[in-house]
Amino acid sequence: MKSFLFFSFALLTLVCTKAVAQQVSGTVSDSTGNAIVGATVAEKDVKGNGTSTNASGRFTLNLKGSSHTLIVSNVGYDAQDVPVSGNAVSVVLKNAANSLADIVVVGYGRQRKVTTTGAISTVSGADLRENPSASIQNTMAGKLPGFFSQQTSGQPGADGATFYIRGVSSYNVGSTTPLIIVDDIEFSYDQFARLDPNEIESITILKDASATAVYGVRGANGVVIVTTRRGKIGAPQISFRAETSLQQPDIFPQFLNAYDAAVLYNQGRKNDGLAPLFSDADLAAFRDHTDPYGHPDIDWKNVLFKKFSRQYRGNFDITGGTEKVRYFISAGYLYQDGMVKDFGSPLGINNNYYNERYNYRSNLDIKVTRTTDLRFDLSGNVSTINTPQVGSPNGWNDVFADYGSIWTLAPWAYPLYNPDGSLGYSQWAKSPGTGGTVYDVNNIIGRLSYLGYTRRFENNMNLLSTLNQKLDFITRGLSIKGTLSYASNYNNPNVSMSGGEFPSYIYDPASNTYTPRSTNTYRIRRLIRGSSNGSTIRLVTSQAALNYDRSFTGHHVYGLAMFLQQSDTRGSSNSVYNFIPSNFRSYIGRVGYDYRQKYIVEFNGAYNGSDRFSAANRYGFFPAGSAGWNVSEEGFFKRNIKFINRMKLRGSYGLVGNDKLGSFAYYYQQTYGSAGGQVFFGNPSANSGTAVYEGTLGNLNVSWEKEKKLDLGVELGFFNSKLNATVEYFNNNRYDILTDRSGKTDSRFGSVSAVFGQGLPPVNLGKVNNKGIEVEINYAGTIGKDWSYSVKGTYSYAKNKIVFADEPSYKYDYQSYTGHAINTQRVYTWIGFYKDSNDIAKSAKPAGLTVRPGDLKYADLNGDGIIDGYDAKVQGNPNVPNTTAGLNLSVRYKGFNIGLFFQGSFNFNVRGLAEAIQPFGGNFRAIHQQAWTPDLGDNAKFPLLTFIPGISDSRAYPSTFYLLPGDFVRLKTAEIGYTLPQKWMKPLHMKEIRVYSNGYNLITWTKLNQLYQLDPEINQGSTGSSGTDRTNYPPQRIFNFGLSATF
Amino acid sequence: MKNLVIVIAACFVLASCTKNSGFLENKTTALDEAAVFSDSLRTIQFLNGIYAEGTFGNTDFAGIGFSFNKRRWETHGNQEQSVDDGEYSLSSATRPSVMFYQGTFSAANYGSSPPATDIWNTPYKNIRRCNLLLSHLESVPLSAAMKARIKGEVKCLRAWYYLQLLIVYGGVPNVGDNVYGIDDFINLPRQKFADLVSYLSNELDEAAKMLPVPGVPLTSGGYDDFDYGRVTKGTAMGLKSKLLLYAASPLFNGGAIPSASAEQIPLVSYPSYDVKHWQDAADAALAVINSGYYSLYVNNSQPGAGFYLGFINRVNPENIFVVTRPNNKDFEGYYLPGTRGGANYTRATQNLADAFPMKNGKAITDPTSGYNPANPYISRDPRFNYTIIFNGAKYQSNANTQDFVWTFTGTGQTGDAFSSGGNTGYFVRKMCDSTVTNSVGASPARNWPLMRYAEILLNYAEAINEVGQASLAYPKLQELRARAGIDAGSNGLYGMKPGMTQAEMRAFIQNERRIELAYEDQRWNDIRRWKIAMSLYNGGPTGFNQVMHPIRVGSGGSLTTGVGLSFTYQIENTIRQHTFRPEMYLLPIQDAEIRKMPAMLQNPGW
Repeated sequence: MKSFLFFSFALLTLVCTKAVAQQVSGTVSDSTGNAIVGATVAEKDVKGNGTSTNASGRFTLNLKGSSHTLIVSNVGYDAQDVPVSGNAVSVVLKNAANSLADIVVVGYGRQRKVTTTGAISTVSGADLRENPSASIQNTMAGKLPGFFSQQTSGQPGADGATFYIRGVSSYNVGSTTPLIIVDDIEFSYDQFARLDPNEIESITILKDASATAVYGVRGANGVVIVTTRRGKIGAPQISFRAETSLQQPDIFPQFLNAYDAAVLYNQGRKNDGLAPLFSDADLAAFRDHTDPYGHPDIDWKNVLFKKFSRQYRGNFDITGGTEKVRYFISAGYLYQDGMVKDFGSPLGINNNYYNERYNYRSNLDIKVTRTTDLRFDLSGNVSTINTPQVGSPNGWNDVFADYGSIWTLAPWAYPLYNPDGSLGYSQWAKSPGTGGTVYDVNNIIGRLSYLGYTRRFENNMNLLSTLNQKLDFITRGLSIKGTLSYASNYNNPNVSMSGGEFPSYIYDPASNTYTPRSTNTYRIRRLIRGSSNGSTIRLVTSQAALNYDRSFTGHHVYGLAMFLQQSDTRGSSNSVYNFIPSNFRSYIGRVGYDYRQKYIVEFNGAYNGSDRFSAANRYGFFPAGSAGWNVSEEGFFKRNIKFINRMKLRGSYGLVGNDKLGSFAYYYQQTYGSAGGQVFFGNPSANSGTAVYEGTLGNLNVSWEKEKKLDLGVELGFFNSKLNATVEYFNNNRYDILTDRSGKTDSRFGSVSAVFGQGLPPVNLGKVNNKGIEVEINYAGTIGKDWSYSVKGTYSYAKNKIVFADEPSYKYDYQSYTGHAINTQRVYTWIGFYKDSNDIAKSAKPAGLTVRPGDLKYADLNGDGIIDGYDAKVQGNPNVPNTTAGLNLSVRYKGFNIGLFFQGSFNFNVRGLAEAIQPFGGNFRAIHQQAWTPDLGDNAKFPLLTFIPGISDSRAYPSTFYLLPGDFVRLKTAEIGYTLPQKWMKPLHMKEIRVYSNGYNLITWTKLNQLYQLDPEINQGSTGSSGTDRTNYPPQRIFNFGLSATF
Repeated sequence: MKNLVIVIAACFVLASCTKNSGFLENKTTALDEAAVFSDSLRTIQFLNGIYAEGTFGNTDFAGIGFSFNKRRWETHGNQEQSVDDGEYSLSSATRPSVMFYQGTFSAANYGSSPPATDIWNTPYKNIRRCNLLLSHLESVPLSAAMKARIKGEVKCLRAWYYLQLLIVYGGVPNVGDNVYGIDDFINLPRQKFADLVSYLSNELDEAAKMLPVPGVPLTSGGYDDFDYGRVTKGTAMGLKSKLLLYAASPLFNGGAIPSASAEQIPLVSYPSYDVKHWQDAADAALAVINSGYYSLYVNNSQPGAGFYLGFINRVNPENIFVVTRPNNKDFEGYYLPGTRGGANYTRATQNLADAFPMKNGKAITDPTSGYNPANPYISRDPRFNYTIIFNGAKYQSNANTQDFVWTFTGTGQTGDAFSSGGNTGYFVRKMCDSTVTNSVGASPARNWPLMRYAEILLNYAEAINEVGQASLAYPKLQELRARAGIDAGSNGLYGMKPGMTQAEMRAFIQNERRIELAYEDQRWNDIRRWKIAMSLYNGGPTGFNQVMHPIRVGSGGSLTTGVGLSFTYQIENTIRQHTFRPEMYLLPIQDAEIRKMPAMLQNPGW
């Protein structure tokens, strides 16, 4: 409204002004208030009357014509017609719509894309907002070449994917995660997941040495830089967005009904020569549902889980500013409900899974003087994550583990309710086969109703202040900047309400009697409150930087000298390091030069000190050099090759490091441990005594991991940049990977015998090579006035290989992990089923184990006629994909837009074991109906059903049978939206209204489903040998409906 | 001017950041080697660490009880479930106890995870601790007498850890007094079996000289009450008895398996049989007996009550070597039936039940014993009732009453009922306090018995019989059976056949050892050293353990009073087949260890 008045007033003054020759002077600045140097200022309709702005953005021009209008333009900004009404104007140019393509975020700065020599990829916040997933990293998959991710869970509040930049380059657990910087503050995976996409301007990943060298010892795994939105000069603009989503599991196992399962159960017993557990009458009762109490047939999926769960999200922001102050203020709300049905109501509590989050941000930019800028950001989030207590066996406390287990929730487990309304139970559930009494857990409905919840709170608050002072009075282009940030993350305090016993009854329809499950339980125990204090992670970072950036005719010189130090204080389970600050210090430098944007060289470096290492090895220097050549700027190129308007060749080489080597410790120090309550000497009573013990030996020479990164890239623009392509090759050599030679931390590696008697300190030994290519292609076009469309594809390939890992010298070469990708597993090679006794007699088999027809048969690699550990071979793909691709299609017609985004990951394996696949542990599923029988023979899809653990066991004999390619292609997101016509807006005094609907994980194509019925990304376990051993909270498919309005 | 102020302010910020030079220095005050060994108290606490059994699952504190430790039973299974005494509740093929009885382990697939790694790693870890303490002992500010005592303790404990290795692998690398540093390259060969035995024997003799006599107070050069549980002179002597008994046993006394090569034979055994080793073993056991330090714990308030009460009393005259524990329900949690809140990881077998004689001391196979298969649990050796819970046994319930435990199937079956899945019809109650359950009642004061006097008596009887003097074995066995509550009989032989031959006596002692020491981490070692595992597992009709399936006949009678009930007792095989091959008499050294120290030879057959 206000702006409307202002606009009318300006119009009025314009009309009233008389046309006389006049001198106009003024300034041109960008939306952040910085002067634009060299902007073109021309008088409209008078050809040749123009000038350009000087170093402080000022200009003077004599108007000659009658238009009284200036045209102000500059590369990277939208040209603007400026009506002149007096002698002075101040012009604010808006960044061109595709400004993101022209300006890129680099470490501690911004650069023009045309002169950037590093490997950098960016995705805009707007692009991310097309994905309704609650965790920010889930919205990035496939959008950025070089970004690899796996979403292993769909649990509200814990559904953020793990991710890597250019794959993994170290076998050292805990040292593969990229550095995440949100507006100069380092974030953890968890904190990152809780960012509100509405606050994000862009996310940039830095991949090569040139881009990451300024992060020095922390840059080797790549860097993710999040830039948040900031205010722009203009009237206040208020935006509001509301979304509601329906979530359902993406891929979730459906188990067989009671009849089908009972048939298979009997089949297994028959195979083992045992009498059937279920008689023909039992089977008939299961099939015909004639005895719902004695022979229940429960579809637990239906009973326990909702068809759809809800998610709500709301955002509100105000942005705007004057030349003095600019602001972006935003608040966000997210509520993500769980997929378990709400059984908590009898006790008046909400014990479903949920995630509730409030995000807030206030970004202020204040121009203190003409040359001094102050920036002050306050942001954070408060979240609550709720988990039901279900008292599952073996301490899982996870309703999904119960769902997948035949011992807890067989389809015939028990009737939900008895005829009198009491909770049901059964004799079967009291002693469920081999599971033992540990599986005798009460009625799940009761457990979900009465056992309460655990509620975890997270509170993350970040403060950032920056003062930037231009030092043009010393020399032009020089400025100094100081930044102080404080981030506090109150971590993991929780409150629980815990129930206890409650009665349930075994109903006997024949005698109409009720036998209590537990004779001592008469009532439902009230909930008891428990709580645990979390602890605060405190991160203080201070930076001081001198910046220089100046253009002379044709020459552009820039530089950065910076000092940074960071102190991270947090609790640790290791009392020696509990709340001991982990300190880091860095001196950073950058020098760059380009000649007419044609020839570019840049040097980056960091001199880092990390307190994890001994004084002699504390500091290290990480340099990188890069060069670029804009071939398309050359005359010969412009003359001869017309269809290519942009072509840049660039390359970089340098050294970066990694000091994140698991949890914080002084690696050079040997500490002795001391703990009370370990010995109990004394007569007559035991006196608790303290024991002191030697800790892992220290290594004074320990140092960080290092990586030499080579990157070569080509950037191309065709047909006036309608079609753009970037192709990149990289070759990274990580070395000095910390390796525990005693094999204590990772039993796969290490060459020192346990006879040594003590854990050995990590030593800088290992080597890993990681190389690959990345391609990004996009095409944008228009048809006529109203249609526009774009296609964008990304492809990333990153293949790593262990070059050296201090392995013992194995008897057979194929047992060695060296030469394979990190986390490739050592498994048996499945070659079919044992056919019959003849086949068994002449085939290799394990010693001491009865092998039967229908068991899985493995290749006898060492040819000794015995299948044993020596026949297991390191083979297959690791659990992290080495190829990922994305394809984005979008079409616009007037106010309509439609977008489809496909994403795929390839070349990784998923291994299932225990309840994830094993019959008589896990519930029966369709694949078990194709288990081996003499009739099926080689057409069987699963080994003989048996209770006897043997050669077909998925855990004891990990084999290629159970190690399946997880390759998948997904319709990751799709969006359809409509922006209401502008003409409707004016009467409403609004700028824009948009309605849209989008979705996440809409369709998945994968072969993995044939065996596992699991989401291919659910792959658990990051160290070598493990796999998925049970059902857990599946990643969700989301259907989202939203409305956004801007005032 | 304003600019200048800001610049100065910025420079000040910069300067203040760089000023604190200690920014990257060590900020912890952790204990280190110097701090520990310059302090008498911490040195003793370091010594404690060599004993420490600590919290379950804390590998930093896997100490003297590591082999006995219930951690294995909890998650992985222990050897007692791999023998004919117990069935394991869990059956995953990766659980070491399952691999043990299936025979599916090999050097390559066995040993990369606990407890397999424990069997090899834990002793060496503690041996290093011993050597580290010895290397610093001279400079610790302690009295000469205290230093001597500590030295004795360390030597005795070090021998215990080597003994654990020897029992499982034969001769192993002997690191001597070495404490290796990170730059040391170690590639040690295995020490010859004979040399390791004589080394350990000497060490134990030396330790015995330095250690206090049990029961002597501090003021007279012994231990204070505060120190109860530390090794004594008697412990060193007892361990020597165990060491020499093992060394004289068939597996080690010229008993290397046929596939052993000429280089392997001296590593895993004495190259040829010599009866002298049995004599040495008998002498060592007799030395303990004659020392008078120990006696059986006798209590006749109920027949054989001493046998039971010894396990729930921290202190008793039978303890030679124990893991001292705070009041605990370690065993109640592991063994008791579900109705008593226990997890019953190990369940007793019919095989073990049949090994117990009748109260008159006669084996149930003896037609004159009075055994009735249709009512198998009456008038049995009192130790049977103190070891096994059977169908209809009365046991403390969670309602604090002595209630029946029912394992039958049929009308009114309980959660403890035999089921085809895995129950055996029995539960274990050995070492449990029968006045509490795992859910209700106070934790009893008890230790884990690593070595008690009963074992010494059995050691002596066994060794002296092998020397050819079976008659000398009788008195020791009578002593044991008397305490067990078996009727003396008219000839005072407690049911033993008079004038047994050496072979008869051998079989008798083997059975007596099995039932007296059941579930005390002995059986798996015994059947290997006697070299009977082959016939035990593979012989007979099946190779399967037998279990008892009681079936209730009709529905008459009262389950509350136990009156008027009728059962049939049906003996069945479990579904778990046991396999044993000759090479399994010794465990393989894990392949990775051989690869790391190629000077070590693998055990024969692996």
